[in-house]
Amino acid sequence: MRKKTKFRLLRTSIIAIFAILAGRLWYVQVVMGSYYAAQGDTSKIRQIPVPALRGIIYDNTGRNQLVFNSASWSVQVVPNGIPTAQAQTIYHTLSRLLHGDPSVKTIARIVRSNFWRPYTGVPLTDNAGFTLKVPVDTAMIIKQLHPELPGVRTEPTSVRSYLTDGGRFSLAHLLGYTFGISDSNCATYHHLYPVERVDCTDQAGATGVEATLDPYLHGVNGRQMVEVDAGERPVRVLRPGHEIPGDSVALTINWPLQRQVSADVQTALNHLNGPAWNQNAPGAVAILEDVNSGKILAMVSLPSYNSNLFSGGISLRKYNAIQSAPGFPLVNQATQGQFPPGSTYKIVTAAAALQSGVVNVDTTINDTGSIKLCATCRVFNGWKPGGLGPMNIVSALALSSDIYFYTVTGGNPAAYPQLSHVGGERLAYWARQFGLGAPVSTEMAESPGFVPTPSWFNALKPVKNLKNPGDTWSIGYDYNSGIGQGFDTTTPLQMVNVVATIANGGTLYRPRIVQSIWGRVIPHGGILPRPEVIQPFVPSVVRRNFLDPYNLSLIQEGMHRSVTNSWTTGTGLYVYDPRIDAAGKTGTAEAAGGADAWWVGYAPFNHPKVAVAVLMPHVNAEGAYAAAPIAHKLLEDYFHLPPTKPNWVQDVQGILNPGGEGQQGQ
Amino acid sequence: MKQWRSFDLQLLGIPIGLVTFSVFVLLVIAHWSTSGVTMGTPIHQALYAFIGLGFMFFLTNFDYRLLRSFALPLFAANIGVLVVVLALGHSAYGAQRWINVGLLPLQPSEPAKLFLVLVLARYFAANEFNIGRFRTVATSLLFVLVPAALVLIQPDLGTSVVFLAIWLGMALMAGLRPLHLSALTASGLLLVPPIWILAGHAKKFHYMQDRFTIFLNPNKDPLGAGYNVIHALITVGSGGFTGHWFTPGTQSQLGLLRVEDKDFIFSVIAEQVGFLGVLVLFAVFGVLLLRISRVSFMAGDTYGRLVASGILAMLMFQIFVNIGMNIGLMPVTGIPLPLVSYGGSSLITTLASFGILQSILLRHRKLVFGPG
Repeated sequence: MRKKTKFRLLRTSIIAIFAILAGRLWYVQVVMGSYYAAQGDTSKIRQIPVPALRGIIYDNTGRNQLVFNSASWSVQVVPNGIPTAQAQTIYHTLSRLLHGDPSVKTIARIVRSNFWRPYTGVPLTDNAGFTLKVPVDTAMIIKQLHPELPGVRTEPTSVRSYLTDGGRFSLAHLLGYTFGISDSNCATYHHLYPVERVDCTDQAGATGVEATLDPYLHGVNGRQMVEVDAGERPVRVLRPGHEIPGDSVALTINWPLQRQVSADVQTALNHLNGPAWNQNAPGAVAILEDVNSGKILAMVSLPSYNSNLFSGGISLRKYNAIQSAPGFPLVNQATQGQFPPGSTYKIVTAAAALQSGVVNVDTTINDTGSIKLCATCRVFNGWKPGGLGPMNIVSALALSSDIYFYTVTGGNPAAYPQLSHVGGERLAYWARQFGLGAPVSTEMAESPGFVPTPSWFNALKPVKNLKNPGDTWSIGYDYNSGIGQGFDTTTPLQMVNVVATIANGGTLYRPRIVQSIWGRVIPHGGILPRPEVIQPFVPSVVRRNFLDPYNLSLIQEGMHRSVTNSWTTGTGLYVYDPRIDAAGKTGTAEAAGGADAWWVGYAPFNHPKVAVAVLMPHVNAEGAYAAAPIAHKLLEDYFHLPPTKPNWVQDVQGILNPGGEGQQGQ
Repeated sequence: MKQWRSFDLQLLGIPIGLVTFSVFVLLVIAHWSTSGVTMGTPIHQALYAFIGLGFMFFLTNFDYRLLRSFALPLFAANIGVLVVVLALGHSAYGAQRWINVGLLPLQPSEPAKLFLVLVLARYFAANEFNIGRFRTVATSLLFVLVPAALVLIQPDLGTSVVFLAIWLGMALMAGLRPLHLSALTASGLLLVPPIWILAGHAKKFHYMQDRFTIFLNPNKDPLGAGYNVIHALITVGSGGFTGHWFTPGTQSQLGLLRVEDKDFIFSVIAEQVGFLGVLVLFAVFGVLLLRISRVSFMAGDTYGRLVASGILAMLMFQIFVNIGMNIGLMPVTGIPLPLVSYGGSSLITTLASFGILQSILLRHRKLVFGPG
């Protein structure tokens, strides 16, 4: 065949295939066009999204359910099903059935603004703009009135219902709440999820575990194929939706313990704010962590809020009221509150001093009650005016000697010319080694806290009240950092984790609140199988073996004596209990608005199991009196011990400065 | 440069126009969609188009004759990837066709089409004068049967038929003897009954039987296998003579068509622009294919001529089968409409092949003397 002929044939065949296609298209679109159009118009097959049930959240036993899906109904309007002539009558009837909210005007507006998607069931919202959820009887009435209400559908949905814990709402910060995705943020949501079947009418996690584990909890929506009547009401299911319920989650939280801890902390807070002490404490924080795995067993931040108020949508006015209530209930102070650690920070300073070789067990510093570096210099006082006498690392921790930790952090060339000192940079290094200054967990919304360094300070632009022009980091800043009274801030979660690290022999675990995830592994085209563990708990270690075992034992011993010493006013006196044998450290950090009273520690001393942090922020009280007795009660709760005193809460005292104590940083 | 005079502006303008139209249609589909198709679809399509244009301009400047040495290693690597897909690929609608490479899900059978064209062109060009021997024909078939078998197991019947179509187009252009063609066709036809019976026994291949019987009678299973066929017809038919021109309340908006952004995008277009509009689309596609045949005609060497006709066969077959299945003329297969269907691998491959075509055009004079 000649080349020319070949190409002529080729061109002819190109034209021929389009001729064939055009011919067939003429048949389908022009000859049969009205037939298919009619078939399309009378085709009553619709695809209706079926929302998947959200996953359930359990406690660490897997038996206590912390959140429920309660049934509820949504009312939907389908623009195509509403005959124009009857529209006003339908809106009136519907509005009357729903007690005037949404009003006729609102319904009409919703229908009008959704004309562009005439076959979609658009959920009605109330006048304030929140998706309407109606009880089952209303839904049934609407279903029965269908001949009068063409184009109106009711579909079952679910609403999250959280345990209220007798009005204390102790789970609110952990679980968080959900919010309704709207058309406006649907695109972002679709972008976040590689899952195809997520609808703009779904609920998504807003805060807490609901948010961090939303990809698991959400589930996969189904698409139900139904046949509808002229009023767009489903009359026959042609194909089920095949929706897949979300995965379930077991938290590390132990619900009975959490409930007890929450009740105890609330009791103590009420006691401090009550007639006995007339304090004005805004809240309280308590955390219990398993020292050998990083599991958070209980975490309470008071005040809390009722997450059930959020699950159906909340008005901006109500939201603002909750948000700005005293103590800022929406903030999880346990992970998001940043507080000066006060003397609890001496644990970190002690580790830094030992690890960097500044001191050893034999280094003795005489606590004379104050340090004055030169004739015109500022006086740095310890908490005991007369002084505590000669101190080594163990007794300095036990008695919380400010003078000792001033000296090892910043040095005292006049009194101890031979002694080197840790200094701000090295202290910051060791603080970071303990996980301070950055979020430690990945499963909670956290604040980073702050670890200051001399270089940071010297690079600061002068800001009112923070740095005078020309001021540079000096020995005084070292001193304040060494006792946790400088610029440093920590979260209670970080501090409990520091203590857990000391307790377990030097392994810094990542604190975790998710124990396991239970999901359904779907075989090809099979039926829904039973949920099984798809993600078991694996402890995650941030750092290990960064502390010398002997140094660790010195710090442990100091914390132990802080609790057991009876020969002075042992700073952890109220935790002393041979049944528990705890080790710990008090802290009283002076801050604007009152002192932050801390107690951090662990128990039992010999085979540590649990670390505790209790913080009463902004109180007029000291850690030893306001926080330590609570910690003792929480340890009793953990070990299932009967309380030693019937009225333990009387030990909680709003005392600042009893017997001359309470200079900065006891 | 003088050679840029031969640059074919239509071969640049028409693909860009079609892709722009595709992005617009995808925007509309995403806007209407109540389910899978999100705004990410048109955005990704535009992004893929830019990547594809990058390939296109690179290959325009790249001497296509040098591709001869790249063809075989690329083809071999691609076959390796196809094997990997079988081992750990992603499954969509029951077939393992994708693997995930970072953000971009890659469907390796798409570039395989183009690499096959390059390899076959090289083979046929090298055996230009032996094409009359059956041995040559049989060897060339081997190049096709390996990837065709691999995608057939995925299972993706459509793409393996595209491979065969590419081979047929190029073999005819290389001078396949009518005797050999009829012999092969006859033996192919003889193979159909045993394959049909075998397919009936292997669960994985059942769908092929289904699709064919459904093609013959879609109403046999209106909610199962026949579903797409019926809804595609209803959607196309509802367009009528003039179309709806993107007014709400049309069939496309019901969300009943599956893969409306990929295999069945033509149905959406046909409903919106109507018979008249589709004729314009056909004219555009027709001109595009005629321009490609012109490249094949003008090519300076046998290799270029065969590459161009291979690309022509690839596009022609895909356009015909995709549109055909949308209007009930062909059984349903997962073949995309080139330049219009959503899909990065297909779009980038197609745009890249236009770069090769331009390269053939730019270098069609065998010798250029002096600065000219």
